Amino acid sequence: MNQATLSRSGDGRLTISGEFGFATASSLLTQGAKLVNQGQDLTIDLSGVTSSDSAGLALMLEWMDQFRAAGQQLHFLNVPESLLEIARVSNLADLLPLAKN
Amino acid sequence: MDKLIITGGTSLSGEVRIAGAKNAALPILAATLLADSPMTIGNVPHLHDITTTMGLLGRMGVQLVVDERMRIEVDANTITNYSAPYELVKTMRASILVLGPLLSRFGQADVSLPGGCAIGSRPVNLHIDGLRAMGAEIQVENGYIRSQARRLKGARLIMDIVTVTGTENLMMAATLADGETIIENAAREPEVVDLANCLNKMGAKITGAGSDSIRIEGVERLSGTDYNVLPDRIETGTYLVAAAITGGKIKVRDTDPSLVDVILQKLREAGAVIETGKDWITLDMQGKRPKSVDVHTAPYPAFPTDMQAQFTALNAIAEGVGIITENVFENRFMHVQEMQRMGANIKLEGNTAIISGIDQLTAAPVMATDLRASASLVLAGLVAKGETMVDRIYHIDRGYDCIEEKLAGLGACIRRIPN
Repeated sequence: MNQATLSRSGDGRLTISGEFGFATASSLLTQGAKLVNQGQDLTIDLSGVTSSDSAGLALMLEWMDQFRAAGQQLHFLNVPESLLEIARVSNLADLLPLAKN
Repeated sequence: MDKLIITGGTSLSGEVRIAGAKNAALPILAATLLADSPMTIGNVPHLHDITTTMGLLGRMGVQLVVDERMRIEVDANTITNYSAPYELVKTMRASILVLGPLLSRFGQADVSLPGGCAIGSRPVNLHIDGLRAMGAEIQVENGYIRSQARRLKGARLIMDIVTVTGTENLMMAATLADGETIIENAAREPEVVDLANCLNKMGAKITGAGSDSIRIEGVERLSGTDYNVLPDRIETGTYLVAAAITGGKIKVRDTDPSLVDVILQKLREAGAVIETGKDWITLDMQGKRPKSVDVHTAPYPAFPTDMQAQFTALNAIAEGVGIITENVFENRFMHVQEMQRMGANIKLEGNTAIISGIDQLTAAPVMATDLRASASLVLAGLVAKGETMVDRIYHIDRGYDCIEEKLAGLGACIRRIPN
């Protein structure tokens, strides 16, 4: 069973753990829905991601869209290099709001 | 538009990895439409035409996922429409490759007619005539090929001219047809064989791929499989010429020497010392200037037209006079004018270029006009005195995966200037 979790760390960041891709994107989308419209900017830390694919990238774009519509800012931290490569190949790398450590 | 800046004068050395062949990956991606279960394609090059094809399939409702190793998983069962619109086809003529699979599996396809092409006409009537002979009803209206069929029927198809995409389209269509199809005067290119191998792994019954007569026994269904695309023989040849033109020594890996026999033969004639293994080739010019070679392009297994421009560049600085005869495409000497601006001594007579090698080219701003012409200008820049700026390199990005990183890895002084 492929699993992924979204959990809040002490510094207010949200951390994704587990597989970030086709098998888990739907569940993560549901888990993430409640984070929008809370009036807060957010940083999502992907350091706990064990594997990823383009569905993970699609989910990042969906979250970006939702946060932009709500007037909030979203940043991604520790995005796996393999996911960045998929973004580069898809001509999407420049769109991703990447946070610095 | 991005530009490449190349400072000439460095002998290339080191190792370079060859990507999968775009001209095999594109038909294989189209072939995924035939599978009734998900399939995974590996060794896919990171090129714009691949992204465009994925966009085309995605618009049809096909589900695509790219994994961490850049393998593409495709599930065509989610398809909702059977159309390839003009805005995609006009940017990538290979889009027509979805016509055969869509018609054969789903009984309908609307594919825009491709527009013109800078390197000569490539008629699509052979695709249409072949599908009609297999029982398809096809109208060409409003710039679209609109086609329908219940189940295609096997037929004997005689191609008037040898066409790679035509052979591939009809071969894919025939896999699910009722009965046996024979394609006579078929293209023999390795990319056609790779597609046949992939289709056979999916359950098709194809024999004779690689010869000029391909026999396809139609089956009821094809299923998904895992398949790795074969290495790109033109990318392989281009890096070998890059090493030869600079008097360098390189190892090309993850390739297949048997795909480039004729290119290796010409490079040996030019003075290169070449060794090969199962999936690698080394080339050593031992610091010498290459000797001129004569080249006549023709369909596989003869010398590929896609390597003609690179050998024009090689001859431009080689010792002696080389004659290049282009027998495949019209208008395929557009790189010659640009090389002449770099000092090359080239005389054009119809489809023949007579090249008297000079000691050194001089840098100049040059403009790419098609994919292989762009590559040849980069090669010329590697041996020109000064800084050569190659403009309109979107052409080169269509066929070469990370060219500046790979050449820089071999020691070339090359950088990209983003627009």
